[in-house]
Amino acid sequence: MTPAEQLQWARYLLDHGSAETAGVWPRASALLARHALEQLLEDFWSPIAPSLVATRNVRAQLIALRGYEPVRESASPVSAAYAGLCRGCHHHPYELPPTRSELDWLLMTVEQFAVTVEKASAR
Amino acid sequence: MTAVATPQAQLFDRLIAQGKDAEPWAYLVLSACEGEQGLARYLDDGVEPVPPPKPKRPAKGKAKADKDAEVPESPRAYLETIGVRGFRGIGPESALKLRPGPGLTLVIGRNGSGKSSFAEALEVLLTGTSVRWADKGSRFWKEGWRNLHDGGAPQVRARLVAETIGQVELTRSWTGEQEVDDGTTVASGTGKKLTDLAGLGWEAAVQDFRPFMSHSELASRFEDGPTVLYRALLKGLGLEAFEGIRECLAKAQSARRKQKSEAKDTAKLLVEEAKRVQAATPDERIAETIALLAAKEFDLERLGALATGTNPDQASLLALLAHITREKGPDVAIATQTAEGLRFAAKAMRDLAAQEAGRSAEVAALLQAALTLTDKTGDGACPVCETPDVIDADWRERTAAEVTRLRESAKALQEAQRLQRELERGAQAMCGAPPVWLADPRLDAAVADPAREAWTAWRDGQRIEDADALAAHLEQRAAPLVAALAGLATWAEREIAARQDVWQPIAAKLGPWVEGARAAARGQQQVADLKKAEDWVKDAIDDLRTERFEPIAAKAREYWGLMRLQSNVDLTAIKLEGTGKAQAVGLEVTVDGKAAGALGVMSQGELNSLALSLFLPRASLPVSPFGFVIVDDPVQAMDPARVEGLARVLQETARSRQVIVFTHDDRLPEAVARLQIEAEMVEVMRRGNSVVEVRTKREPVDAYLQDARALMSTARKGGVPEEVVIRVVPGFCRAALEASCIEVIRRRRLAKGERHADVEALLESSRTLNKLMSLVLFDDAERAGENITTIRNKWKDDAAEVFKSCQAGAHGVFEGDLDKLVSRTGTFTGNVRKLK
Repeated sequence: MTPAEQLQWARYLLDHGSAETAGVWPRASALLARHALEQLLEDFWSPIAPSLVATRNVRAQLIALRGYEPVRESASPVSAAYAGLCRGCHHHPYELPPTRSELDWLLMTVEQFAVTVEKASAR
Repeated sequence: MTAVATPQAQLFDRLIAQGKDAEPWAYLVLSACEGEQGLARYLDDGVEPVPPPKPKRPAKGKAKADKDAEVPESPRAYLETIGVRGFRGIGPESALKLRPGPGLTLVIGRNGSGKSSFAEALEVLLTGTSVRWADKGSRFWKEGWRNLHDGGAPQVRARLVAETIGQVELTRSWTGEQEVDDGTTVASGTGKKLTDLAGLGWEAAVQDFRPFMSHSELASRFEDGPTVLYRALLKGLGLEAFEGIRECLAKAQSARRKQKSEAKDTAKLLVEEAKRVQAATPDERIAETIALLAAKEFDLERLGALATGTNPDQASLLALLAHITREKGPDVAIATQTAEGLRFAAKAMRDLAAQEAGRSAEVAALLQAALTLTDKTGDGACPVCETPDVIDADWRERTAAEVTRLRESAKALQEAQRLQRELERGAQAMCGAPPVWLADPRLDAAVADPAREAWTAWRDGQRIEDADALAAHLEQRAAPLVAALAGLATWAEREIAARQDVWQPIAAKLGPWVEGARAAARGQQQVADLKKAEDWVKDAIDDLRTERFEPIAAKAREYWGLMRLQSNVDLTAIKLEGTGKAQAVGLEVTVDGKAAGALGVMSQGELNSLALSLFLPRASLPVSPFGFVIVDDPVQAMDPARVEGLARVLQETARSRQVIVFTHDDRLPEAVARLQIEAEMVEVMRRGNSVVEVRTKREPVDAYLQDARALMSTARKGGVPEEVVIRVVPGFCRAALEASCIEVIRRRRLAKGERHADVEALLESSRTLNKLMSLVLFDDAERAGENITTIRNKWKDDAAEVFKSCQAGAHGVFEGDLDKLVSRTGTFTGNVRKLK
């Protein structure tokens, strides 16, 4: 499943609910989006810096975006989105799952990053 | 509501119990119970109030004890459903189902999830508005109330179960362009015939007992000042009626005081005006008015006489002028007649004197002497001329006749002389001296001097002896005097008219002023008794207030005691002080045992707790018809320890009330679960297009596992692809494990007596599963490296597998059996949660 497909499903869960997915969708959507973002990063760095991918350290991959011109602009919002998605994936004391509007923004950030990555890879 | 004695009956009881019913002001108290009009009827018209029937038991102490036992429990209404459509955050119809009856329900949802829309919907249903909008007063709130995601008309409804009434359905819907305030709430029910809230007795009750408590409302309770807080706290205690009676008596006093000061103020204005007029056109009445109005005590008798023009001052110029207009002088016709009489008498005198009448008396005497002599000498010669033989009987006869004739002639002359003298005296008397007033220097000399001269000349007639001269005087002097006096009278009339022009406007004002001042004077005599009556009612209110507020204060102190926990602020007393505008709530607190000002030393969280402590007991007063209390977001700004206290307070209230709490995070549900407080938990989530989902909240570990299974079942039915599930389910399993770890860590550490804040800080800094597990296994977040080995030793290989899969699968793609992973995670979490 490509990152784009994962993002589509993440969005699908957001807006289309069945009785069974009622209540499931916020965390499921966050988990899917996070997977998509992690895979996007891996796909982007693999041809450029395989050793970076090998560490499986997502935070390092996010920081490295700042040093690479075509994606430099994305570094900050994407890092923030990743942190947001992580909060939605873990169980935190007292925190309720992310809201729809929060997820909407997080997904949008990742979707934009997907476009940026595609353009950068095409060069 | 059950029949409670009217305020009048209660006050009457009290008057009798205190033996004050015979006081002169007792009727004032009772008539004030009939409102301002009743009091006015008594004060102004003397219509006595109708006292209520005599109380059955006048005993004091016992009566009070009985009253406490008698506090009626109103039949209560509990909520069953709140349904909302197209309103605020909720688009298509969504319903919050509740269990009617006492108990605690938590409605949990993030900010923006739509949960507060349920609370607001109920508030709008019952009150027609929401404090949130009313307070903010901004168009933004008012205009944003429609939810445009639902094409249909907005509607809010609630179903309640009310004791003695049965099921009650409240509905409020809006059409087209209606504002949120425009709608009306329609009530329908199975039992009684219902149409609206007023028919249920809920319209007023909802203001008095206000079963809604939102965060913003609680936060603002102290911002509006102690007087507003006082009013809010005392609502529903039935004291307003008594306060109204007191105000009625107070108003009557101030009206009377005002009347007096107004009379004084108006007097000042009148004096000023009178002085202005007086400066231009002097007038005694104005001068007197000024003097009387400037005096310390008003002589209302005299002022009234002045205003009406009765009983004027005789010395006043006005009286003089009035006199002048009536002064006509001598009657010219009479003067002329008198003159003619005088002349006639004088001529008659002259004629008589010209005849012998002048000497007839002497001749008669002479002839009589001759007769007497010749009687002695006898007939013969005349003794005078000696002519012989003339004295004889014949002579005697003739002479005697002559004597008689002469005597009659003399008598006629005398009569004429007397008449003439009388006429002369009368004429002289006519020429009286000029009157004193004519010398008055205030008279205009131009007209007064001719009159004075004419009159002085006229007076000279007194000294004229000659009848003809006197007649001439009368004829010549009377007419000029009359003319001069007429001139003076014309002047006086003009003067009077001129004075009336300046006086009249003042008199016109003076009249009503006197009326007002008389009323004020009457009112002054009533003020003292009114004050006594008011003071007595004030005392009664103080006693009633203490009596009725005490249960609330006691509960509030108890609730605060539960909520303060680790706070060093202790609430020692809640007092209601003052009357009228000085009413205030006095909160006495100690900080670490030392007295301090309540509001200054409290944090926002503490203030909210305090407000909740004060208003929860109010909402649960026995006389309230509402069995439910809505608390919206009480947890904001509260630290974890206080949340635990809050949970206990809610538990306490929920014993007798249906307590519905809306909360935006998991702190309160966690505390409720940990303290094993029985509660229904409902989760509210909002999807796209304002679709709001409401479902029963489960405890977190089970929730994650159930959600994982639900997703897998959806996938099997083709709802979502398998690849989605593979990526999501391990994440759910990891979250379930994390939740079980957090549960153990929190329970263990709080049991050891650690501070809530410290435990939360530790959890906040240990966000990964590895660290959490390390804390569970070793009470140390830094020994994560030993996790796998220890898990394997403790719970076999399966558990270690699960742990690894959860770690990896959350990021990578899980390749094992998902069903097995979920069921093993269930076993694993069960084992973790069993740890002490």
